[in-house]
Amino acid sequence: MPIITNLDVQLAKNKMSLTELSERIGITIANLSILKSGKARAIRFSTLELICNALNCTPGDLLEYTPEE
Amino acid sequence: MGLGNRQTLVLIKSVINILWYLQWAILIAIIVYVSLLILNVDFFNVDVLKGFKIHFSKISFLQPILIEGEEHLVKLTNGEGRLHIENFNQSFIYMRIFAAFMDSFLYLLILFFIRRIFKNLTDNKYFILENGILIRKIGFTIIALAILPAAIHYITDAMVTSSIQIEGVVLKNDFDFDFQTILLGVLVYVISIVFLRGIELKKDQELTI
Repeated sequence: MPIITNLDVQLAKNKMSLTELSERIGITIANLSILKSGKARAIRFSTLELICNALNCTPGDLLEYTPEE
Repeated sequence: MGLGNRQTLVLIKSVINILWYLQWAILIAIIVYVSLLILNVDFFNVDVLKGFKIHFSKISFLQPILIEGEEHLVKLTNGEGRLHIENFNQSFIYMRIFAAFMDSFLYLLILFFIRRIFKNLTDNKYFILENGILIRKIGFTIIALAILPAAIHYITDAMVTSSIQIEGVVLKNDFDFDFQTILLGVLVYVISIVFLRGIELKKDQELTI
């Protein structure tokens, strides 16, 4: 998929683990792992809002578009 | 799943199991029949079984028939019957058996797919890719069931009608096009497409964070 999630980068910037993020926003580690690994097919606005709030970033920082060759 | 649903499932599964073993018995019977035909064994009058179904457009009786004291010329039109030729090695009988074998084999294949679906259902696996693929295979097999044996029969009929000349009898060759079965096969195929799309949507739902 040409959409890449930079969740790991944002987590590193905030020195936060996936488990901590999971506890803060109330989304399971399994779901966050799907998002982190790029296996997710869609993301809800509400989830995006929670993650952006917890990591103090914008959706643009989390998602990146790379055209497929 | 409710207790009633599970009981229905078990009941249908039992019926399918009976049909499965019955179909195997038919298939084995066909193989035994072919063996007896090839061996031409004495204890078994294969000539009785060698009779094969034919369609005719006209059978004219050469001699006038006495009806209510008067002689009339009589003929039979548009029908089917079994033609028996004694002490004659009819090669096309094997084509007929092949059609019957094909018929049984395809039924067996359908039952095999249904049994696998039922196994998944009893294991509480409903909306899985395997079930969708199995339903699609059932659709294709039903279509094959409607076309393949009929095609073999048509070829055999063509061979029979061209090789047998009987005075007063006009044999005909029809393609027994089973439209209803084809429609059923197409319907099952369409259901499989919807089912597979449903699975795709379910996956989308699961991977939406």
